[in-house]
Amino acid sequence: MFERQCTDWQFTREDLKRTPSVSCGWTAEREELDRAKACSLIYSASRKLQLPQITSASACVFLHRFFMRHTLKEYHHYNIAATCLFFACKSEESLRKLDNFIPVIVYYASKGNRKAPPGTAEFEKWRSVILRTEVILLQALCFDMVVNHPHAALIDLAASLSMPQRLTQMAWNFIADCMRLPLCLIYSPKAIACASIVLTTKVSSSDLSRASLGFLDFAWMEKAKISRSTIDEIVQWLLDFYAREARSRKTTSQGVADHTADHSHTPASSPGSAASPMPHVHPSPSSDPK
Amino acid sequence: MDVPQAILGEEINKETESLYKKEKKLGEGTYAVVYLGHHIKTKRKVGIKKIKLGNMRSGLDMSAIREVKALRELRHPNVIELIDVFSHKTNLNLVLEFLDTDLENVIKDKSLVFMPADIKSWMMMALRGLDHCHRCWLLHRDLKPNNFLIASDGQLKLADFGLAREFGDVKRAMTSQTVTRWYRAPELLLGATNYTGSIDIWAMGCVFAELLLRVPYLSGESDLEQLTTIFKARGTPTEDDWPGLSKLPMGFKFEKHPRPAFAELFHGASDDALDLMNRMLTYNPVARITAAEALQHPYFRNSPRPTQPAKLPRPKQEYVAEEEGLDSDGARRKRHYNDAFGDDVFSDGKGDSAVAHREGSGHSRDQDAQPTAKRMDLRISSPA
Repeated sequence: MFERQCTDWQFTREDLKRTPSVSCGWTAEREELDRAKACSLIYSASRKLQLPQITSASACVFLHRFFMRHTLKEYHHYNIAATCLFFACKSEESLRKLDNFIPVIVYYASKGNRKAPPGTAEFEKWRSVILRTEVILLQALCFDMVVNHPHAALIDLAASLSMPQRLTQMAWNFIADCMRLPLCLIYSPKAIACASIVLTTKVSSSDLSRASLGFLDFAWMEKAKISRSTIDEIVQWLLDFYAREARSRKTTSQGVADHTADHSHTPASSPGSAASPMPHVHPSPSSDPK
Repeated sequence: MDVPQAILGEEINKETESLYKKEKKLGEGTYAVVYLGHHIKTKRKVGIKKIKLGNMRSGLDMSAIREVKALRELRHPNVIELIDVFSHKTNLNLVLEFLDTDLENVIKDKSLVFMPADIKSWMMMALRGLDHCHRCWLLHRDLKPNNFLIASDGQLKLADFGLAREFGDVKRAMTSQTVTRWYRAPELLLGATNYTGSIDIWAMGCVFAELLLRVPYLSGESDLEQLTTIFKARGTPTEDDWPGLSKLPMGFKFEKHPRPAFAELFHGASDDALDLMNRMLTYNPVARITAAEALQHPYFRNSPRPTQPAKLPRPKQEYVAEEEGLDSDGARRKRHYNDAFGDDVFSDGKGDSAVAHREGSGHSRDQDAQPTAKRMDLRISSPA
């Protein structure tokens, strides 16, 4: 029964060029950037709300899965980021009240420009968006809310390779960046963990990692049944992404200004209030199954 | 995947919804309404648990999320099967295996006589289901007789996972306000926020005792009285029984009660049964037996052999679901349905016609008794 439901979340890189968003005008690059921004919001809000990392990681996976079935045109990535994080709070048993949750989301979505304490119109708007989108999210996820993360794989690998703590921490941080890319849709958690270790040894120039490069002779990867080319793909993707992000930071000095203005259908988002943290409400004909 | 997948989730959801038909309401609690329904094509009977959308303040109900999350991970003959999930507007609907009755009704039906082999059979099925949960790192956290549902073939199944959650991360505190009071382990009553499967085992021990006594074993009126009730029944624990006792959050000053002789109260029970029960109701959670160990206990190997599920006693009277009250916590669900208790439930020789039926249509009265009995043999250890 559940097998019939499409809970196969394995996609290819080609699939990412044919997402719902791409079919309605987004370029693949822009979609990747929007997804990454949404995940950044998830991470900033999670830190402020002191959520466990598994919660933010699950939220990112939910978001990437959601946008394989819905468009960025219809659902603004910040709205989905907020909903995914709120839902992940529930599914990962780290509940936060909307009263505390929304103001934090608004703060980070507006880069600190706006506040939305409970009782304000802005708060209410966000709340209705999150609560309505929650059901749509759950449907899109086909009620599949158990996610395996690369973090666990990293811990196992690090232990078996007796990786130094400092390097493990570094690899852990790379995984957090991996979650911002739709890597989880394509590669196994183990492959992502392997790639983060490889990248760690590449960037860490200390003799510590030189020493540890010995055991990174990729024999262990064969044992883990992860191919060299897969690892290289992931590493390259992440490095490309860093470069692109750095470029886009330079060119768009206004920071978040670009993405909200793109939504011409967004109500009341004049160019001046581009960083408006108001939820992006649109009439959504597909939200009701009946 | 070649086609753009926009709104696929919703299409699937609609399709799922169209597969089932609700027939009638079986019961209602604060958190859910349970309907009897069937799969339109296969005619398989199902229970449809419609989760009421909680207050608009926090969106989807946490219990519903827990239940879906837990049941999608668990697949075991002694755990209720979650067949499907769909949402309708803002309601979540859980399509569950339809089960006729629960252990509470069996215990309460005083016209039924339990043989020691019957109790052994129920305990074995319950422990197998629980062992599976614990192997999947899930705590049930609300074990009590009316959460052990019983299928028409006599199989006992753990149900109601609205409080279930993962365990194993020692750094994360969990609430001690869980499990229905009479079945709540002493460490929870004393405010422990870090616990393991041992709390489920305590509840299981209480159910074991209840099967022997036919009344709830430790029925306290309040949380505090619950502790006193436990201590009166089982003796006040000392630091020897339970090292670390004095370090529990709520402190520890209680009247000293001696440990009574259990054999008097449970006069019908065999020594091995009492030994297992006492191991399940051990004060020290670390020393308490685990589900896996309990299944290896001599009690299950010694004679009498556990009764085959299809031959277990079951209530004969007809239940009318609507009249059955549901208690305030909404955890009680009544799935009794007259039809399931036909006169011929216990008759054996239904023959081949029943076998032919079974493929398509889950549990219905046609398929009770013998074919099922053949399929089930308690002595074969479960795959889990």
